[in-house]
Amino acid sequence: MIFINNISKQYIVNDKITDALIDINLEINTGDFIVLRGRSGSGKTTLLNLIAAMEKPTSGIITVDGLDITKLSEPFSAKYRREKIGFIFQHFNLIEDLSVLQNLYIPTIPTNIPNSKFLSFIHDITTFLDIINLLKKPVKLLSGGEKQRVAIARSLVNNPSIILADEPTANLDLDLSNQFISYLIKLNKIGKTIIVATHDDLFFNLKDIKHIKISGGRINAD
Amino acid sequence: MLIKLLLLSINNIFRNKRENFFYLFTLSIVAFFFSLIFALSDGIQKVYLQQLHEMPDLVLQNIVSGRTANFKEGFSDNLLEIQGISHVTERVWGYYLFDYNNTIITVIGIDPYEKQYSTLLDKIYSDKRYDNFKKSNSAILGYGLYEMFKGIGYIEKLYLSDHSGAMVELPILGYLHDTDLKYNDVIFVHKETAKNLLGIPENEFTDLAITIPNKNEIDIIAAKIKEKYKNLNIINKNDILIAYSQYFNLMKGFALIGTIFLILMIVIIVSDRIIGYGYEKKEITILKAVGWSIEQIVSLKLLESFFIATLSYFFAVSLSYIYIFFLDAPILKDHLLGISKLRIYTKIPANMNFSSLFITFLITTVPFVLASIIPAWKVSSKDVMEDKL
Repeated sequence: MIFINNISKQYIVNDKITDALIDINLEINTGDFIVLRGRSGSGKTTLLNLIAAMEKPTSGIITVDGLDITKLSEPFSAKYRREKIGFIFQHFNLIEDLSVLQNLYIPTIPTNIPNSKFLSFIHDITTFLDIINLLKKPVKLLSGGEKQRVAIARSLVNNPSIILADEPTANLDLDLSNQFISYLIKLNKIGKTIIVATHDDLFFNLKDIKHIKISGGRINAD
Repeated sequence: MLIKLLLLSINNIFRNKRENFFYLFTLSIVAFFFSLIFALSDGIQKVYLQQLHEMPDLVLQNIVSGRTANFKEGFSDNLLEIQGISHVTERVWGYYLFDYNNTIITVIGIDPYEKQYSTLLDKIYSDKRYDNFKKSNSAILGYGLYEMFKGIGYIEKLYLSDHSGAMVELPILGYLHDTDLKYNDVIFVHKETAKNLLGIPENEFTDLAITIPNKNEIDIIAAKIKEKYKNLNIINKNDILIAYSQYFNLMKGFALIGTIFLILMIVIIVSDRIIGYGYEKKEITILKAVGWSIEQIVSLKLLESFFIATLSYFFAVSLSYIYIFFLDAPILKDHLLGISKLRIYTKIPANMNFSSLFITFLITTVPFVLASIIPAWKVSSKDVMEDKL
């Protein structure tokens, strides 16, 4: 359960205060599939970053499963991200020179997951995403669709309960975007909370999904 | 987790081979230079200090009209009246021009039973050859001279002309070890032979070496001698130490020039490291997003930079030690040990000075590690959106 209570976020750019988010209030239940709609610069990504505790809000509180993540110190924010959050980026944000397996291994380094458990988990995830045959391949040799599936796999490595995706289909063609969405739906069906920031129309026609529109840093009634 | 971090840091080093090779190469040059300076100065200092203890406590020179003049026989008896002096050696030595190749040779006349040189010669010639020297008129050569004479075919005997131009034949009994820098250009002969070669009258000596058993009294006795014999120039071990320290100042000057060069190199590496941080920025953001803490990110960068710097350090130090102690510092040695017509054959002894090694290590690693971890820390502790807006 995620409670977002009166969240505002400001940045100071060239001595000028810019409001990225203004008074955001939101309640997201465990297992929800949320689509944050809005133009570039509307504040979607900032909201995802705040939920991931990658940034601190200027004011307001966010609680995740009862934990006030706005008050966490940096090591605990990292621990929270490690345990609760899986992040999928627009540009995949994979380390291109590393192999798929190495990219998947990176989130587990700060954890104490034994290698055997990691490998068995990786087997399951990569089978699910149909990338098991790519494990040894360097990421730079993969296609866009393959990279996106690796990015999903990496977000699942630590078995998080919340998946955040920032413009995940922006670099994919229609087929790959549909395929990606189908994976998200499957993950949602097994109980993961999914929050997607996007302006891709493909998400807007989905059933059983909550749409939240953001513009100018505010949530608009939809 | 540490092992996983170690493995990833090694992987990252190989992944960015080109850039890390540049750092490795540049840092190696820096470390090599420092290591070279320290190893050379430590080694040469060792050579000098080893020889210093063999020197007399005081050396007296007779000054007449501002020039050094010989002492007359029997003068030493006057000195023995001064309390605290246990022994006075009447020394015979001088410079001899070997005109075959215009080389200046230091001729030292010794009494085989004289304490100053017997210690040195006993150490080297404990066999019968030294006894032969005691009995017969022959020569012992410094290593540089030995090599020079060998080069011109004087292997068993030397032929030198005396002060009157007559040829003197001297069997070569042997040579001193190549670490005896001080004696590189020296030929040891009997005192009578030395006088004959240098043209010193029979009842005269070049200078006097004084032995003072209580080393705390050296300065007091020097003052007493000066008070009694105003025309004497007195050289004591402390003066020689000062002379040596001046020599080492030269080395320090050399090191200073090197240091300026090295600081420039470090500035280049550090600025390149900071400016070129763009590609690492993205990776740091990825690590942060997948749950790495700032501490873990900085630890990874610390390990990577420490590996590169340490590898450079060991590579450079090994190379400098090979250069100095195995290859005998070609090119540099002749310039550092002195300019002479005679080539210096003195081997610089291997001298592992841990404080020098430690300083080199600090100079090599600390700036590079800091230049790696500070930007990593800055990037990882920044809000991810700051760059985007």
